[in-house]
Amino acid sequence: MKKITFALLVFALAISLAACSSPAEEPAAVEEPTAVEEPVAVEEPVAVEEPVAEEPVAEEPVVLTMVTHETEALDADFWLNSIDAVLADLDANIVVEWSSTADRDNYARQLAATDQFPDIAWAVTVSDFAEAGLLVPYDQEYLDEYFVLPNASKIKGEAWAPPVGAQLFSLVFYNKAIFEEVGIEEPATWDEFMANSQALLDAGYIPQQMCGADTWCASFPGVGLVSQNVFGDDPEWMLKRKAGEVSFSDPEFVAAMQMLADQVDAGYIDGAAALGTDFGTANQAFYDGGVPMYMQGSWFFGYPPEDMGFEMGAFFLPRPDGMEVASIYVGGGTRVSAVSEHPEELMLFAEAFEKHPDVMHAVVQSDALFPMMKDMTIEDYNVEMSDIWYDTYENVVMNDDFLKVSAFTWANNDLDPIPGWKDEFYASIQNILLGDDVVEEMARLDKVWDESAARLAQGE
Amino acid sequence: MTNAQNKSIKEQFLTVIKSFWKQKITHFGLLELIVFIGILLYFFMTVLPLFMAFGFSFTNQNVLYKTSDFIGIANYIDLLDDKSFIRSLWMTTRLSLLVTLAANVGGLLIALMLNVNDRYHGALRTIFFIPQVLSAVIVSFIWRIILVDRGLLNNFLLEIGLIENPIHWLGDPDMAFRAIVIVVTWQMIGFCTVVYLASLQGIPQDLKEAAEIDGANRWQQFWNVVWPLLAPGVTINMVLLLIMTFKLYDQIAVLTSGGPGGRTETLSFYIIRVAFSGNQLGYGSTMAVVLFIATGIISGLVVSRLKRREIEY
Repeated sequence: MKKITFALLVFALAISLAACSSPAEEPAAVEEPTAVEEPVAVEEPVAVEEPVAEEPVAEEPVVLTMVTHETEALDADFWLNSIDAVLADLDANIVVEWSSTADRDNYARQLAATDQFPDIAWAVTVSDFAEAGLLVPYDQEYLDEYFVLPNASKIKGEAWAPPVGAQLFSLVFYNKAIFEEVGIEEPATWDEFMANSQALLDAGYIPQQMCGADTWCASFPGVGLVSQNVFGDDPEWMLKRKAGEVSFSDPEFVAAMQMLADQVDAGYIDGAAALGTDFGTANQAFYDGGVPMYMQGSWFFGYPPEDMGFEMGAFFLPRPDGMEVASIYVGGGTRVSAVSEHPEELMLFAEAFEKHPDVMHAVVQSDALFPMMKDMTIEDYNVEMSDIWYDTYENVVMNDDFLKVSAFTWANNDLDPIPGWKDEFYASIQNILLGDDVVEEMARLDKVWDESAARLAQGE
Repeated sequence: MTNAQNKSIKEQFLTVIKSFWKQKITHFGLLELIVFIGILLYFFMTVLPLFMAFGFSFTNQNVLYKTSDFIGIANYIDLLDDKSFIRSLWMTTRLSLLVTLAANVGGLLIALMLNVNDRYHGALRTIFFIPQVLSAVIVSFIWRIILVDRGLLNNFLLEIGLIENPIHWLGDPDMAFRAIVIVVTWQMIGFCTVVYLASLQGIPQDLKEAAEIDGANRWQQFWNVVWPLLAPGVTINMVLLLIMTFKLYDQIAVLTSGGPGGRTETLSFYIIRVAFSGNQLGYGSTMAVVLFIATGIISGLVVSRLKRREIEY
């Protein structure tokens, strides 16, 4: 009995250990040496048989893994069809295993921690993974050859994401019909913006809508105000913060965030309502025509339905001095793994995917991405965009004279904050919407930043 | 190794296995096997990660890096000054106590109503248990659709004229907290109901009949006969609910993402945010250890206190 039990226990342990271990390649079976045949005595010349042509052994395809997210437009069909189209064009022996996740950053971190980092981790935060040595930088020649702004999204001198397109932030989309009804125009300065808001409030409207239930969506007013006012004066401000030369409690940063608090105090933003409204609901409310102003990113150019019932306009959040500034994010979704087992095939697929006409068509059409590809015109993408989108593309994105700064917390470059901090910033915006004191919130952000930065510095 | 030798080892192995199966395996041996497999799985899935987390808590482990340094109790000291940690711990404790109480009271009331053996009540039992079976994520998504400012609930209340303006169920910090308590209680109440039902049906009828004969009214029967005998069910429900709610994550992630302004951030949510979004696996592990200890202490205290009430009959 004891022997049986012991043997079964050992058997169970072996199975358990095998199940728990990471899949490993089985060692190639060692072939037995074939027996040497003894030479046959030849009496007559033997006809030499023609060698039988062996069928070529099919090479195992290279398997790449790709993790993306899904949106309404970039759904599973889009990803699978795009992958198939790219592979068909490449005519390479590559298979791509695709999967999607809602929280791509955290999922990618979990995969990295368990040595399963995907070959392509779509649109994850570049700085974290690049600094950990998990991403491959793009070749400068490749960047110079294909992209309008080859150096736009570099971290420590290297580009870890292809600068295929741009999105703008700090945009205020507005209902032209309501503006006309109230008798106001696009504001050129902050004072005009506040005056417009008062006029809208007096006319019975809540001037600004927000989608604060989703934390990333709640960030836009804060992102816009800091980008326009702080980065607009000093584009390198974030680098200085990382070096400890400035802080979030400094007057310029506090003043920018105070502008948000002023809007809440004046009733131009209903804080609690904003925090209870999610992205989809806020969008629909705007389409329905009862919302005067709505802060969103430039992807919103591609969202409104054709039968919206009113004309939509857009302007950048104005500065007190009236200087025109646009906050911008330049990048693309592809992040190429540095720990892939097939680096050459991976880069071949990645470079083909990020520039493929089907992919570019989808991201431009559905997300209103401003393409930044050399030697390509809008017509090449076969998209139908609104006049206001074309206007913004020509006069802002492609206009070197229009001052552009990195969008705060959305940058894909050295101006990205330290890992995890932007969640605290977004929480602070929510707190300001609830009426909390700006100075106290900024002091809290400084404390969290300093403590987190110290812990992260130790851990690297 | 030759084919012949390979074959020989295979044959030997199969012979050993066959001989084991052929021999009489007693009931006792099979149980040992099953228990051992269970212990093994538990060890690798729970105990080992626990020890690893404990080890990480004394390091500055970054989730994206392979190596780390030993930093002693620095993480634990940092926790004392971490206002977000203290706030989330307090929020979790309040949530846990409220949900545990509400789900137990609600579950007991429903169990008392359903403690009738017929088909109709059988169907009702199933209906009440359904929320428990559903994934917490699905439940939370459904409730989010209901509770957002222009969601189903506000639309209904506005339609019938009960309110003039939408109630910020998820936008106001206090309302968001209450909404979470309601959603989690709604989901947990089915579990409590089933446990109390089982306990109720284990109470001998003759005890209640004897009490009735002695002139006890329904309330006296419940308080003097049924309630003391429900003690095991109370212990189970209280302890399990405390443990489950202390670890709450899914509902928070979907309903409020810890907002507004971090006011509904439970400890588990904060741990995940710090450990993964913030890359601070070491610091996150510290909080996880504290959560484990706190849950253990509270559960232990509750069990020891409630066990004294249990009656053997």
